[in-house]
Amino acid sequence: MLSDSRKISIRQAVLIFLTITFTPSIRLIPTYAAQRAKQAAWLSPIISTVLLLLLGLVWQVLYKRYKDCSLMEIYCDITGSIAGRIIAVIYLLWMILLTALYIRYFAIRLVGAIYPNTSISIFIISMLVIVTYTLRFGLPVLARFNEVVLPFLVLAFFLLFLMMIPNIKTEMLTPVSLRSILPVVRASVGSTGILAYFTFIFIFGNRINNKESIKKSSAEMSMFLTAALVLFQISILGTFGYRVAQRTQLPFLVAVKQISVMNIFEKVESIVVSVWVLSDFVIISFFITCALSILGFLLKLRDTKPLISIYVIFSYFLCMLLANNVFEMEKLSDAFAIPGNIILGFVIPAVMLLVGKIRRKV
Amino acid sequence: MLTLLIAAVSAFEITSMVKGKQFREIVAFAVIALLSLGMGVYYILTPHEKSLIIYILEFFGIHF
Repeated sequence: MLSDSRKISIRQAVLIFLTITFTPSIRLIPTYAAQRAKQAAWLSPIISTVLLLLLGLVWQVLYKRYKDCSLMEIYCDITGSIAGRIIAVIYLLWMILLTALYIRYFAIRLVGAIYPNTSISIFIISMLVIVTYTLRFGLPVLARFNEVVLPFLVLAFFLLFLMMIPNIKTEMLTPVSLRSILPVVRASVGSTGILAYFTFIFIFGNRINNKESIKKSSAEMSMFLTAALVLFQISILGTFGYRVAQRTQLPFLVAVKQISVMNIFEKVESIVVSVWVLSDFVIISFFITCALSILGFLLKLRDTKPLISIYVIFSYFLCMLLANNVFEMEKLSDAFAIPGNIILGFVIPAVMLLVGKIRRKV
Repeated sequence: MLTLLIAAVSAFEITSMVKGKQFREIVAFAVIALLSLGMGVYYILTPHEKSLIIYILEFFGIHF
C-alpha cells in the first residue's frame, strides 16, 4: 500500500479533471455542437453532465468494493486476469494516442493563434522539458500545482464571460423547441466524449484517498460543469451565432477578440492563450501519468519515474508523426477520439459494473 | 543529435536504475528508447510521409 504522502485526495483528482476538460472544451465543443444542434447547441452540455453524474455513481459503487485499487486492478478482478490485461493494453494505447494528440494540439494552437510561421518543435520541446521536470516530483505535486492553476482558469473565464455579455445577442440562442431535442442529444456526444476523462482519473485510483465521497464530488463537479459549459457555449453562440461557430476553428478565441470595454480594454486574447498553456500543461502531464501507471501495472514495475524522460521523448516523435495538418487531427478527434473516449470512459465502466454484479464481485 | 539525446538520457536513468536494482524498469526503458530511436529516425528520414492519423483512420475504415 502506498503511503499517504504519495497519494492525492478525490477532491484534488476532481480538480485535475476539471482542468483537463478546459482545453478540449474550448477547442471541440462549440464547433461540434453548433454543427449538430445549431442555435440550441448551448443546451447540449446538460445531457453530458447528467451522464457524468451517473458515471460518478458507477465508480462510487465499484469503489465500495475495491477501496485501494486502480482501474486496471478492478477490471482484472472483475473480468479475470487475461481479459483485464487486454483491456488495460487498450487503455494504454489510448493514453499514448491522447498524449501525442494533446501535445500536438497545444503547439498547433499556439502557432495558429498568436505565433504564425514559428516551428511547433520550439513549443513542444519547451513544454515537454517542464512536464518531465514536474512529473519527477510525483502526482501530489501536479495535483497541488493544479489547485493553484484552476482558480486562475475559472476566474479568467468568468471575467471574460462578463466582458462578453455586451456582445451577446439572445436572438442568436433561440428558437429552442421540442424539435431541438434530437439535435441537442447528437450535439451532446462531443461534450460527453470529453467528460469521459473522468474515468481516466481512476487509472491511478490506488493513489487517490477518500474515494467514499466520489458521489458527492461528482455531483458538485457536474453542477459546476453544467454552468461552466452552458455559459461557455452561450458566450460563443450569443456573440456571433451558430453559423460562424460551426465554421470557425477556435470560436472562443474569435469571440474573445471581439471584447472591447469602452474602447479602453481590448486585445484580451492573450489571457485565453496563457490559461490554455496552463491547462495544456496539466492535460499532457495527466495523460503521461496515466500511460506510465498502466505500463507500470502491466509490467509490474516498482517505480515508473525513471521512464518519464524516455516516454516524453517517445511522445515527442509520436506527436510529430501523428499528423501533417490540423484537419487530420480534427478528423481524428471527431470520428475516432470522441467515440473511443465514450467507449473507454462510459461504456466499459458500466459494463464492468454489470459484469461485476452478475459475477457477484461488486 | 537524436542518438546523443537518447544516449544521454539512457546513461542518466539506467545508472540510477542499476543502483536501485530495477531490472524490469531497465528492460521497459530499453524498449521505449529503441522505439523512440526508430520513430525519430523514421521522422527525420521521411518528414512528409503519410501521417499516423491517416493509417489509423484507414485501419478503422473511416473516410478522410
